[in-house]
Amino acid sequence: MGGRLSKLLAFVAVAGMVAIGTARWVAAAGCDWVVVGSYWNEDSQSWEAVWDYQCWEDPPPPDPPPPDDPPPPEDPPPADPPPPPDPPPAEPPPPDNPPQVCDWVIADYVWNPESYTYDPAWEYQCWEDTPPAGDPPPSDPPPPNPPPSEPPQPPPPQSGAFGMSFSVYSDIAWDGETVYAYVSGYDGSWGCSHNDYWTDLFLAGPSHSSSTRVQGTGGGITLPFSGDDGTWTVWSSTSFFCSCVQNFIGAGGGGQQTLERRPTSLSEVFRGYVPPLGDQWYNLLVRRQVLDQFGSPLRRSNMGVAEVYSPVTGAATGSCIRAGVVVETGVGASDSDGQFPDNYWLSGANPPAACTPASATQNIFVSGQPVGTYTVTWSRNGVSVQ
Amino acid sequence: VRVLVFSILFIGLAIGMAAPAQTGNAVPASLLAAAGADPTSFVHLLAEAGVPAGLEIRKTDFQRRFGLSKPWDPADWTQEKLARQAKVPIERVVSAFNERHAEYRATLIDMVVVIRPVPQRVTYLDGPAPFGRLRVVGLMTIAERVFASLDPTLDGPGGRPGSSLGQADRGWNLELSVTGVGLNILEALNEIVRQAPGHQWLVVTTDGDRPRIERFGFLHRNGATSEHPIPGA
Repeated sequence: MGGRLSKLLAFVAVAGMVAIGTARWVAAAGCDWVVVGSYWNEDSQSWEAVWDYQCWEDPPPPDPPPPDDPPPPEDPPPADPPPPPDPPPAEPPPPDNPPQVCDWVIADYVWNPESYTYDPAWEYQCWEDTPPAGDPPPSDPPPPNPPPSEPPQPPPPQSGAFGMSFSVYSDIAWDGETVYAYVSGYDGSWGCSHNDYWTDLFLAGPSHSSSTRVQGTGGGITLPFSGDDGTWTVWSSTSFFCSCVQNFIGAGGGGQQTLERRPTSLSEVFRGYVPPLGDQWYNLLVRRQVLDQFGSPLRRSNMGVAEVYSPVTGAATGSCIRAGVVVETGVGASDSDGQFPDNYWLSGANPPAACTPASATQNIFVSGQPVGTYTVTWSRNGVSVQ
Repeated sequence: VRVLVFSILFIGLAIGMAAPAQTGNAVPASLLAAAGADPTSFVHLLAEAGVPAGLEIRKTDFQRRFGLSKPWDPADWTQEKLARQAKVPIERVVSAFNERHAEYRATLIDMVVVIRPVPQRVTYLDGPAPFGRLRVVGLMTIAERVFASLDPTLDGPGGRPGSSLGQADRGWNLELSVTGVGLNILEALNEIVRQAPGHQWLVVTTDGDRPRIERFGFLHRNGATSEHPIPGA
């Protein structure tokens, strides 16, 4: 039982991977809205600023962090500051008295092959009233080094940056009657707080489907198989609240699996002698049912059924079965119940009174799959099939 | 006199127009598409359409179709649906087959579609029929008599074991009568299938440059076959 299927991994990076350092607009001492980061807006296909209400003194922070530990962008405090202007200003207000400002800024992005992320390269720079090039971040993700071809892995939490990464693991299992799909989401984002996860699960076969919604990053969904052979798809869509964008964002992933019943074995549903035809001496009818890999009847019409016999043995001199004779065979197809008759006979003119039995091995194939092997022994007045 | 002349012309035209239908060579148009199928499937479909046929085929090509689902939907080949179809001359179907198959060639012999490989064919079928008059019951029984000179066990005393899978009319109870005088074996087989609608003669040969008969039998409706292997072939 079971039929555990291959595990599928889908990796989905939400809105691209973002690693942004602080980019402070410096004005006079006091409090103001500042850009603390940015995120890629899929709808507008542009980088959007993340605003934060901050207070500072002039001059800027006296002890900048070391280059290997750049200052992390602060998640926007949940309360206190008034809501951001709606819409936020395209340009922050210019400072009244532009001072010389020094700060750690992102000078470049460097591909990190261990974490599969673009890490910011920090540099301590000074400027007057406008930030240097490269800060705020460019409109397109920086491509300094092409990423390797291997699939990305969930990045570890980063310090001094924030980014979003969401991985989805999916699995489809099947017992012949019911299809079980499991989806597990892993939120590997860093720098922002995420909560209020809801996941929509979707499971579809070639001709029917189902969906459900669960709280959290994953769950299970089932659907009766109902003879729906073909490609099955499981898909999940998880939404969660991101503190950085102050809104819900989504991530999704899933996988596909081909679920198909195949002829695997046979069961016997009838056995008995029927009136012989033509010059047959007798005619044994054995009716068989095709079973699938789960042992269930495979009710499929028009499956090709074929047989191959090994050479006949045991027909010695004096036997009523001719020496060296082969088994006359015939092939056909299953009916709509996935059943087919198998007739065994001995034929010929002038049957003798007694007969030395002769045997052969019968191998039966359904749709090209070997499904049964039998030992058939013909004698004068009957045939045994085992 | 003028009326008489017109009447004769009208009758003549009517006879001329009706002549193709009277020859019985109009067959369901779906056979044109079926001509693109493998030779075995095509001959099966000719059986469904009631067109007598015979097939000589190499073993490799014959086995190729086994293990696969039947390449046609039986629901499309019911007698009711075939009767409602437009009809085309059988010659067009034969030409369609030859246009799509380089290694087999179909010919129309006495209104039987005969398909044989090119260029290597077994010579046995072209030899004279080794029997006088045969009157037997059962398709395979008469076939064993036709091919008796290939193997002495075919026509000797004693029983022959047999087995068949699938529901099909295999012509076990058909009463058949063939006179071999003046016929070659292929013509005798054609005569048998003309007497047994829905059953097509079958000869499977070994592969290679000097083919020999590996098995003989019949292709029936519903994809069924009856096959008798030749020992040692």
